[in-house]
Amino acid sequence: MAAPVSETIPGRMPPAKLGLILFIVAEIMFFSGLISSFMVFRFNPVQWPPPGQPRLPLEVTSVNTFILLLSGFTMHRAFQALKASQEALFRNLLTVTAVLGSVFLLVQGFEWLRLLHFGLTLHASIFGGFFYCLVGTHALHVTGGLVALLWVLNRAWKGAYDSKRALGVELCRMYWFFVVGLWPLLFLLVYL
Amino acid sequence: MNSWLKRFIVTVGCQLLTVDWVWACPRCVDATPYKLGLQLAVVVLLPVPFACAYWVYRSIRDAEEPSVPAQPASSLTPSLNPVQE
Repeated sequence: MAAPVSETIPGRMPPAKLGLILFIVAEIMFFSGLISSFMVFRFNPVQWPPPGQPRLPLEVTSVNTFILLLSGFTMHRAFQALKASQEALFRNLLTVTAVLGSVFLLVQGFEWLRLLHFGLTLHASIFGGFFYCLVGTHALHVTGGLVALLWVLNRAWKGAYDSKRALGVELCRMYWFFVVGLWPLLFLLVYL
Repeated sequence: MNSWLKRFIVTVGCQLLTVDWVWACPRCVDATPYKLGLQLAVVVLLPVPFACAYWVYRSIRDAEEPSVPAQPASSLTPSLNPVQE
């Protein structure tokens, strides 16, 4: 078996990392546009949310927010464990991260079904439109992150990563931090 | 300056100075009920591209460190080092 070779050239940023940074910057600008348009309608003298609209599930979503933040922490600890050559701990923590991310998405989906049942649809009002646009776009990004996470997890269980070959995990961690870090902002704006 | 260039600049200037949105925009913002939201959105959105650009710059700067450290002057060959000569 060949000795593990580092994926990066010393003193050079891996092109994949630079690409992901630029992608995340583009995503930040995309969400900034959505958030700014939401703010224009949110902070106006007219009552918000509009009357007759169902109340958003604050308690459940608060717990769900905690779950997503916890997944960010386990992701961070998993990367630390990999760098410290604790492969077993790394794999377990990465699995926990994927499970927590899945739980977040499932709870979000369940709450969406309930809200649709109570009459908050995309066309019900501008409130519904913004809610599904902002929260839905974020959920789509979490889904993308989860797919990447599951791919990394599959490779991790096959022993593809160690302290020298951790680029895939690092990129996955960066993207996961982006979706985790974005959510509290959306939660504060939309739910509170 | 060429006459066609003068005409072009004057034409563009006249177009810009007479378009309605240049003069109407501040009045529209004052009149709209969304004035506070617009102002907040601008204040929140404005620093974001600068922060992003700084993040990209810092990431590249931190990663692109020289792999070979610069040699001190004393390690130069005697023929090229005037101090030792």
